[in-house]
Amino acid sequence: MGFFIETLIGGLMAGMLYSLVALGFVLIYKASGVFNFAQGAMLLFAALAMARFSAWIPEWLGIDSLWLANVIAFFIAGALMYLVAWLIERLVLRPLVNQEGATLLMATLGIAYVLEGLGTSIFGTAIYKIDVGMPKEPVLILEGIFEGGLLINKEDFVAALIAAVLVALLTLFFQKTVTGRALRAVADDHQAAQSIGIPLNHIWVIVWFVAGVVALVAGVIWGSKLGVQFSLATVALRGLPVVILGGLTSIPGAIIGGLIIGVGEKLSEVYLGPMVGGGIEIWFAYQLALVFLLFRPQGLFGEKIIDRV
Amino acid sequence: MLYRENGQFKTSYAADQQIFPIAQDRWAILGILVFAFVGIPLLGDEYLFRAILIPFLILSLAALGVNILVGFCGQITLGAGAFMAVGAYAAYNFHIRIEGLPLLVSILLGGLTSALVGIVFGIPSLRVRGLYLAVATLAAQFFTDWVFLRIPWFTNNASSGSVSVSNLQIMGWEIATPFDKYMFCLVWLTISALLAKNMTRSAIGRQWMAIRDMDVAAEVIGIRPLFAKLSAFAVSSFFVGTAGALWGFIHLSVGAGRFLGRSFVPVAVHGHYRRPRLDHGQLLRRSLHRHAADRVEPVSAGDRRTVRGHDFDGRRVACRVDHLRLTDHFFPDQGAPRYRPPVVHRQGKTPALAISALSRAGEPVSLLLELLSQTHHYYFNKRRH
Repeated sequence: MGFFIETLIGGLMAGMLYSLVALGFVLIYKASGVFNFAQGAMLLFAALAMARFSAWIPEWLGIDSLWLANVIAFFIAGALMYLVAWLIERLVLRPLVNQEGATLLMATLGIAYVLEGLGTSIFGTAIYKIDVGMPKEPVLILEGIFEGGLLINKEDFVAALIAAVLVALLTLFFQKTVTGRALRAVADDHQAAQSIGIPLNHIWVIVWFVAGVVALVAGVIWGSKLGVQFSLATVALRGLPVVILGGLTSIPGAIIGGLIIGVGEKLSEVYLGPMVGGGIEIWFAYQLALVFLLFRPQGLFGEKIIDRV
Repeated sequence: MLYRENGQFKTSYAADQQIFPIAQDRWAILGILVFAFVGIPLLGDEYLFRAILIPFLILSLAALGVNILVGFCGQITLGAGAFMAVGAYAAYNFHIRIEGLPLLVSILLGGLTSALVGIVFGIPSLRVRGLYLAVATLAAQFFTDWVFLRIPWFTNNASSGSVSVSNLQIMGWEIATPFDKYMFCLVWLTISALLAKNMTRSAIGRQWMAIRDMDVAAEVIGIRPLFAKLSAFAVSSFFVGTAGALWGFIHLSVGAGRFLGRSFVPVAVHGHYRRPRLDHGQLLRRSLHRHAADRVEPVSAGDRRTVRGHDFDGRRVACRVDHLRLTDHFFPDQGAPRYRPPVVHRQGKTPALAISALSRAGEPVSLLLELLSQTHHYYFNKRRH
């Protein structure tokens, strides 16, 4: 029982990390109808910037404090993501306005290649580490209830907390601020939003920037977990089943989808994996999402797809 | 579009039904073929064949497959790499496990296996659509990756998961030099492209396109989504699978990881998107909401007419509509229609298809005609700007 719960908690926390990646997809899809395949590349780019600047800044400015260097690096990386968002809007989205979804999807594939290449050629291809002082050692809890206690990875726990806070902040931003309301208006109907004077181009920059910040946070967390390297871009592939499971248009869907995928993945790996030779995590996540889709083709919380002839 | 069909009149059904009805298309294709078969062998050196042209041809074949699925049937897929791997491993296994199996048969069997697997992975498309389907097809990618790495039988117990075949020959022709390999791939690609082209302009291709343009409407007019979608998956996977087999036999060895890059998917999809096309669903919806019914009206039975318009490629469409009279502002830009041979529903063009099918079904005809007029208006207004 203790082992089961341990796996369950591990799955939930991994799930939070997946939802972080998934959030980036959902934000952009909601506001501009673009399925952003470049999310993984953005994550890699942001993490690379963060890792390099946090190493460069103490050299340049002569700061000793790791904490201060990290904060400055985080803001520089954030500014860089704003630049990226602005460039994407200017060079890619604006000429492609009113094009089909599939065309835009292909365009984001192009963005992914450019960002991956740009990131590795500016910041180098070595494996860097991000040290934001995440606690590494695991702890044992509830030793009184379960025999031997439950082994919890503190790092995962902190990451899950950060993810939860980020989601809460985003929800506040979307629900309570003027910009958030404008974003929701654009998501609802481009033309109507434009007709009441919401500047579409500016809104898109903001959306891509917000997605960039989410990518940055996810990049910092994943980067401190796995090290910043090229394979970080494939983390996005872990987020995709989450997105379609939760529904492309729903932020809560991304969270709950993430939790379901995280738990399903870990439990399947532990209990089914040994029967078929292991390593089934990644495709099991997709199959799990597919099973849900067979019952709800729009995902758990996505907008219902209605066809009219 | 650099050129138009204007002035090229067809006076027989044969002329109208030929593969490339426009002379420019015909000559361009012929020129490219002559260049590929005669020009390149004269110009190319070994490096060019081995490193650029052979992979180019094989990936074109894969793109052909993806084009059928994404471009003609509208099912966005990211799983093409998986089907390449399936085709390659299947062809390899047939080749080494059955003594004396000819190379051609191995490749074809690889393609057929890939088609079967494609049908299985295509089943979700009956329920899941669009981007959701695109992501769902990634399942195929990861699943086949896992299968070929974990189950040693498929790779004949090769420890690296990478396999290769030597001594290829077809009916005594030894395919050894890069030039031979190039010619083999080129012939294969040409035949495949001809097959694909003919398929897309036959009944099955029209079904795919109707499903692409709006699957609910296609279902209403009696196209079975099950058959249309799964056949597209099968045919597409067949081509992609043979491309994988060629890649494994001719170009390099087979390794699961090789196919799992998504890199050639954009190639394939761009291949499709070069064809200009309108979103029918959108047009249909728009016409429904804004202009329904007042432009087209049913009249007494027996009034047979021909509707004319332009399809997506700027070619003229003409089709016969039973029991309908069209009001004048159907084609206001054109004035009195010129005389044209009465070509009934041009092949493969969905508005014509939908109308010819629906004019027998009755009720929703006016909507579909409206669609045709919208297509026409949209096309013209767009071009004038």
